[in-house]
Amino acid sequence: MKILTKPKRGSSPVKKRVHIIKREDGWAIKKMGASRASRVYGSKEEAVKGGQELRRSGHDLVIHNSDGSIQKWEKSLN
Amino acid sequence: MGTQKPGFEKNVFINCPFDEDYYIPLLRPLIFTIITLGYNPRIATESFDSGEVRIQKISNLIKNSKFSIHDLSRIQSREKDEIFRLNMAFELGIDIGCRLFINGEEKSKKTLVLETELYRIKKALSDLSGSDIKHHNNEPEKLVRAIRNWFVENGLKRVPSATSIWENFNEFMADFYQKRKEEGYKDKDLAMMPVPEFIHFIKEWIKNV
Repeated sequence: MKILTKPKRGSSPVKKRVHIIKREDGWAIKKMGASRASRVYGSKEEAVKGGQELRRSGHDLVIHNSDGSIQKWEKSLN
Repeated sequence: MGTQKPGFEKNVFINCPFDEDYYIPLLRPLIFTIITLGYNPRIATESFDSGEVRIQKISNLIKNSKFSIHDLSRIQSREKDEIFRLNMAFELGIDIGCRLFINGEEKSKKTLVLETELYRIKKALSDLSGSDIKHHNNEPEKLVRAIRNWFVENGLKRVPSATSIWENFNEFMADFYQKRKEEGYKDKDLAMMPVPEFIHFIKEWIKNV
């Protein structure tokens, strides 16, 4: 079984993304295509704050709802 | 012995509510997990034909599926004068009857009963008292874990972790959202997308991984 890690992008321009994802143990930051989350925070607010730093290094910030749908998509700051 | 039915070994019958309260938070990750693990979700809403008798359609899906997932978490009425829902329990009964009374590959069928809380269903359906059920607390990640672990407990080996499947589902949703928006879909088109169309997009995404 191949583990899904690096989605190929279709016609859309490929942009680096970082996801804020609900986990049973908190809210995780996961870079697009990474095999695992880079850090898990106790609250969504903390995770979003952590994600903002990555926006400055060229990542879009995709904030998910607890059901996996998209709450907010913030474009990178450069 | 019955004749072998095409796709039987990989088909997974899903018995669940089809309203927005279930579809958006739970059915979408449920379908994604089944496809990720290499199985084929079969569900009453996969086709729509007003000329087809519903119970016959459901019976055929059950008969043609080795695996069945019955989520009974929504059978309870939630407010005064709301009728409790019996369809899910009824379809579970058909599935167990199929397994018990048909001599053929149906004997190898595997059944997963899901509930919100661990012991609640046994009060309403005491015939299940001796049976194992899994619960998800209405949390999508817990649902993914319950389904993934059930397949492993029934012989599936070397599969991604539940956490990995859940995180991939979130990544899929981002791609799904972005691409469908580019194609002109509106939020209401995405929220209650017909199941066959949603399955198509999941398969397309996984194929490109």
